[in-house]
Amino acid sequence: MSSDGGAKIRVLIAKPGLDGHDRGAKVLARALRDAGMEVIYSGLKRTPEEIADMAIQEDVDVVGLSCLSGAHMTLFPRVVELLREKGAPDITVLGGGIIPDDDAQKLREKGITAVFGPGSLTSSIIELIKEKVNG
Amino acid sequence: MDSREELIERFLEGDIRALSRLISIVEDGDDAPLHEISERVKEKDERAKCLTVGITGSTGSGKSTLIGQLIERSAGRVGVIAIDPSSPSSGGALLGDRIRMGPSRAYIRSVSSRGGGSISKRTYEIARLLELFGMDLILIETVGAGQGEVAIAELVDLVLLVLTPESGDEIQYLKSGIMELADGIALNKCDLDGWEKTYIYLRNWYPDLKIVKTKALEGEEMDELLRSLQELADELKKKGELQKRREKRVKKWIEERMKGELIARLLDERKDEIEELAEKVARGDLSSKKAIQMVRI
Repeated sequence: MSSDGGAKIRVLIAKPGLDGHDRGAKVLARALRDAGMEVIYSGLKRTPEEIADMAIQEDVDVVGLSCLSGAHMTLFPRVVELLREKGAPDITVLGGGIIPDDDAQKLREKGITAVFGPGSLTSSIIELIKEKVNG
Repeated sequence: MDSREELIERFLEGDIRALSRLISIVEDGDDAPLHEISERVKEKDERAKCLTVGITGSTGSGKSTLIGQLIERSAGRVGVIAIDPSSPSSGGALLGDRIRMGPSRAYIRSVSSRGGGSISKRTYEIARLLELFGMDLILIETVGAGQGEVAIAELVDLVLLVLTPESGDEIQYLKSGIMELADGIALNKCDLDGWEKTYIYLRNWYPDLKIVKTKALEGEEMDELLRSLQELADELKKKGELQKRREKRVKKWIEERMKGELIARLLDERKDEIEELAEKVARGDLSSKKAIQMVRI
């Protein structure tokens, strides 16, 4: 259809809550860029409301949430909830950070598609995103 | 995903998600929904009230921060197209402009240049969608630009150039290119050493140009900048220049469109002929001179 190379996978990498650690978010953003995706970075200390609005304005396929403050159980499900409320339940939400296994399980039950802890490979995140978007 | 018709209906009702989805569709090369919408919106009203400003300047000059400040101070609905470069190797992009625009009530869309230089090939179409959606002000931020990045001027009502102190000696400001196309200049970061010298250069060589000394990060002189942009727009309107620029913009778009269609049609019509010629030239049975004579339209 197009001579522009067709649709690109668009991803929002977001930092919810009071957390100033974004090295991981930046490394991942760059890895996704190098995998040919269009990556929007939210910047630090965003509210779940701001993140949901950004995701909708930017028409992303995936939101990657990064949280190292320990508040993931409050912040991550809230983003999923807001996306549903705003008519965008089809956007995939992924989580990353220092997240205990028990919490990860609960987060998956609340609509976070996958949770990536320390040591996760960027290649496995890329693979999962491609699989989710392209089917 | 929703059908085109549904998206268009929802767009007309003012649904943000529909606007976002349609921008993606148009960005991916299919502009049919845009034209469908333009048939249905009372376009004349929308166009009359919407002002489109291109904001350009080098990397790190403060374009995004400045846009964030302008959004905060504008009364009406603001739409932003923030363009960042795409990777020549992977085709991916890291779009980071909205970080500095802060949380805002504007509609901000980050756009990859997708190989299009300082703007994306679909900037015109995306701006049209925002206009039809009912924005009062559209701000288009180019990729951090150099002297030759003049493409933005063909897409907007006004060009604002963001410069910083010590961004070159006098000669830099006398060179051709973006300096000639700017309608106004924001001399940003005016708390840095050397700003007086830069300001005097600009004042001396461009006495008729609107130059505002700004500190975008602190929000200083931002009301003045917004007022200047509005005044510039009013002046251009009075002189009939705004209408001329809009005509030029549409003409350029129609020409590009015709070129595309013409080329595609010709290549398709003469596909067999082209293949035959290529084969002969490649084999050495035909000289390239003869081949060129044969393909003349």
